[in-house]
Amino acid sequence: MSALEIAELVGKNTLVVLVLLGALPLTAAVYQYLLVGFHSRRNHYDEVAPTFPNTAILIPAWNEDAVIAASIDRLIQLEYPADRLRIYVVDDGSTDRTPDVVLAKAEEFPGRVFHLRRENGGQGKAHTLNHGLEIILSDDWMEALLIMDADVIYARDSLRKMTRHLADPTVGAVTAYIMEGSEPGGYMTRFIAYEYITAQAGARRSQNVLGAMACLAGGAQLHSRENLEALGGRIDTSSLAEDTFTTINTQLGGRKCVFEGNAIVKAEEPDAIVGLWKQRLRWARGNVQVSIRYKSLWFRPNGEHRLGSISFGIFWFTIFLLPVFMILSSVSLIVLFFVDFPLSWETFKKLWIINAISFIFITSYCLMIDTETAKRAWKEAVIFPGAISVLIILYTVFPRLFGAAASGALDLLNINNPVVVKSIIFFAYVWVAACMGVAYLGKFFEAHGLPRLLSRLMVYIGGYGPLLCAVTFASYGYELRGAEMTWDKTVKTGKVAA
Amino acid sequence: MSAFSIDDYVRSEFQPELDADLAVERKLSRRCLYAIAVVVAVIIARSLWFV
Repeated sequence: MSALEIAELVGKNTLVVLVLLGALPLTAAVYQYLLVGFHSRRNHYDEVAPTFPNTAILIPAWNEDAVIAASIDRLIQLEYPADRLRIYVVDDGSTDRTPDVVLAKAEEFPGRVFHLRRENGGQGKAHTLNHGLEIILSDDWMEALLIMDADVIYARDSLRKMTRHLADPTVGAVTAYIMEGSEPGGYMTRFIAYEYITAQAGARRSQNVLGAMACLAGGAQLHSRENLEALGGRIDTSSLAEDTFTTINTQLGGRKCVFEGNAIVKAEEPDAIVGLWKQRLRWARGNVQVSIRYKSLWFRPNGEHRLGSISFGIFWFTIFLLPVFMILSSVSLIVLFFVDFPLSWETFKKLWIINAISFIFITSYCLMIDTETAKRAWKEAVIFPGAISVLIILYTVFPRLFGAAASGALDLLNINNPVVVKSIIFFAYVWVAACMGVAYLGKFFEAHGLPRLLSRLMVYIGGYGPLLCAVTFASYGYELRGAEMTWDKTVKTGKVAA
Repeated sequence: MSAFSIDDYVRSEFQPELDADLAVERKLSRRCLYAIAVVVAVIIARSLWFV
């Protein structure tokens, strides 16, 4: 074999590997959800006991007059000793009726609801929380602190289900299952509802099994006083991912973070692409910052915590680098298309067989994890990767059936010839990454005032998953050019049923 | 709404509530097997289609 032939062989095999790496994120997700199956055996329930610490609830609020009254009312109704619960609303310089509403509630529930005003607001959630933390920690009444969002609605039994884990002194923080609860919901909230099954009810259970938590939900994080004091009594203000920093620092300090999947908290999430984009761009940029700040942590197993485990590192980076995997896979396929078409086609089919099996397992299992949400969001679960990707999955799983259907359609259009077939295949190779661009068009159309039907269509065709990947990809750019860290508040309208 | 009583809760609610939550977790474990079964069924269906 000549040197040229060896180089060609190595080159082609490298391209094949790069293509198949595109299946790594979904394969890692399968591993993650398989761990959920072990949660009934490996959980924190052996350590729980009835525990009712004096709990301060800290609510950052900026222009929340549409939702804050209902949230406070629901908190008052929590099945928790009234004398052990105080609600502190940090009004972050609101310009609407938020102060009036909270002051009225403070009058209605004296000694239980407190209004804390921050005159110079707008610096972000972490600053708002720190204002409240300073005041709450200055009094030794508080034994546990629940940080939540102004719009979320707690199930009556949720707080006590969280506090029972604090019976174990090694637990620093507990989080709950944030469920999308908009009524009536739109197509976007249904996508988010399904996403939250995967990312919270599913992924966080697997993180319990693994013993490493990626992030305490911003709308439901219960901390022991000891944990807050060990964290310096302050929330990190140097990033857009204060929740993740708090979570990681808690575990680095040797205290556990526990997910309580049976404590249900309903939240209102964005019902339009632009709102979702702003929210997720903030989260994604935060993840870039976390990945860099904790660079010495990843893939370095040690005896003190599990954040450095190989599994946790794979989970973190397959999500964080998902757009990179997609682009590499697509580009490699395109190169192979020109240098060795049969090999490219075989590799493409292998990629999608793996993706199809992963997709079927993840979707069917996640829908079974939360059947209540599944009833209203199953269609969005099926179309999550986008209509065209679902067609490719169907073709991959049942090539004869869908191959015959595709061939029949081309016959009908009288364009069933090798050039057209090869063009379609080329399109499918490009699609592996281009789906992100199509999903992004949905955001672009909506931002430019085009009919919402059009932007919705782009998300259904391109996929909600690829839309999130597009956000992640955009976040790399924002962080690379050091864009200003602005806090774009997600607008809430009070659509969550109490 | 009656006031929440810790004694009543500890005596009559805590353990049943915990048992119910553990039952949920066991159900999720079984459902993981169902999801695996779905995948196996799809793989078998695909193989049969080729026969």
